[in-house]
Amino acid sequence: MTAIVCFIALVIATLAITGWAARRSQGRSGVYAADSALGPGQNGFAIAGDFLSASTFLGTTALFFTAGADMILYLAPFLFGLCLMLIWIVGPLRRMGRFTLGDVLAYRLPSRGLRIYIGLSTITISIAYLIAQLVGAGMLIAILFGLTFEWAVVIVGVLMTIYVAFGGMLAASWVQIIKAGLLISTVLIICVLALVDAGGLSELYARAANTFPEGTKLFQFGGSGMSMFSTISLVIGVAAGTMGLPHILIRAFTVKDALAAQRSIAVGATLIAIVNGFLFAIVAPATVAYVMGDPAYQTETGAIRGGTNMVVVHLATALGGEVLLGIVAAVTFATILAVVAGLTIAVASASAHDLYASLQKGHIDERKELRVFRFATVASSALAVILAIIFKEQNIAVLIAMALGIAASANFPVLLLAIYWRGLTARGALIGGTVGLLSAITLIVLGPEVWVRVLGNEQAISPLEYPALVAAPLAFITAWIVSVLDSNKQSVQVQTA
Amino acid sequence: MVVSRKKLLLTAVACLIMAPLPIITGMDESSPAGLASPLAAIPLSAWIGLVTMLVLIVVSWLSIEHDNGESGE
Repeated sequence: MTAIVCFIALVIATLAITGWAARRSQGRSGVYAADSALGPGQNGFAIAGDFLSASTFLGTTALFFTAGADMILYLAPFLFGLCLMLIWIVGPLRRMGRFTLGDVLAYRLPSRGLRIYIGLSTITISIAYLIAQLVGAGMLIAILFGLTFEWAVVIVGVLMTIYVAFGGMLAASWVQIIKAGLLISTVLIICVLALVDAGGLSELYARAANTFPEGTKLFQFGGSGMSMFSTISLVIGVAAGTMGLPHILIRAFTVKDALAAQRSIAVGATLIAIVNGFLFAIVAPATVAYVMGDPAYQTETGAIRGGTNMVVVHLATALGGEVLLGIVAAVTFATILAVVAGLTIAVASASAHDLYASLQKGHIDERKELRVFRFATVASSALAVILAIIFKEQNIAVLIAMALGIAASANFPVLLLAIYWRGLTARGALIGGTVGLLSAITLIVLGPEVWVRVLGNEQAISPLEYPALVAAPLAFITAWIVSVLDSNKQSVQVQTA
Repeated sequence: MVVSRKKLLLTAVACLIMAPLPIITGMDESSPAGLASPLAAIPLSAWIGLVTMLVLIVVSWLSIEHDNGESGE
């Protein structure tokens, strides 16, 4: 009952925000970038909201439940990537662009082909990420609220379409800010309740170690059984992918200048680190201490009810009864809504501002471009919902690996070179990015997730789950070689302009 | 363009603090990071994770000053 009340209150509140934002979001600047009027603190909360997805809140704690301290391998690399993004990318990105990644490239290399390329890669990455989020969301909401998977996905799809189509970036940002505040508060409440109930941190750890079948091995690294090569490729793949994620990068355009963009990332990184720290040090061990071995949360076969992704939800029940369960369910729903809204903004703005505008000759009518934005919002949401229903049974990890792999290998090298290397030509960027894109997709197909787990082969041809270790350097080298050899007069003129 | 020394230094610090994690977790033998730690109640693995994230936060805030006003082009 609490879950339903919280859910309805949440939907009403977010729709009210959308109505408020719709009255203020006029023109391209308002719709794409919230008029660049967010403060660094607000944008920092929104960035934290983008990262603290349902997979962070539920998925990583589930990982601790099975693999112990290796959970940190799925938390720290995102923070590492965000840190490098702050050092190398976000300042110049804000100075060079207005609304999309296409603006940034057009500033240095005004090539229609390159703009279409970056628009398509943004759409591909964001749609893959969106489908992964929707598949996860559908399963979770179905369990939490007793809906069917299809209805859960459709409800999320309709709400995200309303937020983005009417409220634009301002509505998506405020939904994200509120969700981040709710999530942080909920994590803190769970931490306090767990510590009070256990009698302190050392007592909580002792209880977790006593419950875990292998005792204190729970706190040792190596529980996931990954090889050193796999762990290194995971860290590099996630960090490089983070630096190329369009829905994070375009947040730089929602604040007034480069300094504010950098401060936003620092605020976001701090909030993410605080939440991750509490999840890693308190919430995850508490799930083992309170949920593992308790028949109330097990099926007849001994498995966790709803799967291990539900251990935080069960922990909430154990610590705070039905009330805390309802709050956690509603916060999880808000988390999903906010993340998918941010992704939809990235798809729609790339469709309208990079693809549609690039294909027009002469003056671009702003009203027509915004109509395309709204059409793209509806179309991309509908496509994502349909694909999520089709891919319902597929492994979400493949889609996440694909999104991060393409971001790391197709977006990140091109952006970094465009910012820092004057010798980059449009042809070099286009061919380098394409090589990164194709090699990333090839390596994912030949890797363990697709080749073994989806296609059923015995052994993977490529050992890489995250292909950035190979594909990103290939993109860099190709872009460099092509640019050096490029005798195209236009490119040379552009790079020295 | 000329890349500043501070930018490289901060990148090196971030990489150095991050590097041990995949190496320790990927070792064939599981690491001796159970309950033995500087503060006995808190496992060494928790310390390693928390210190890694703390250093990354500090690097993030330090890099703001560094990049302020620099064109990057």
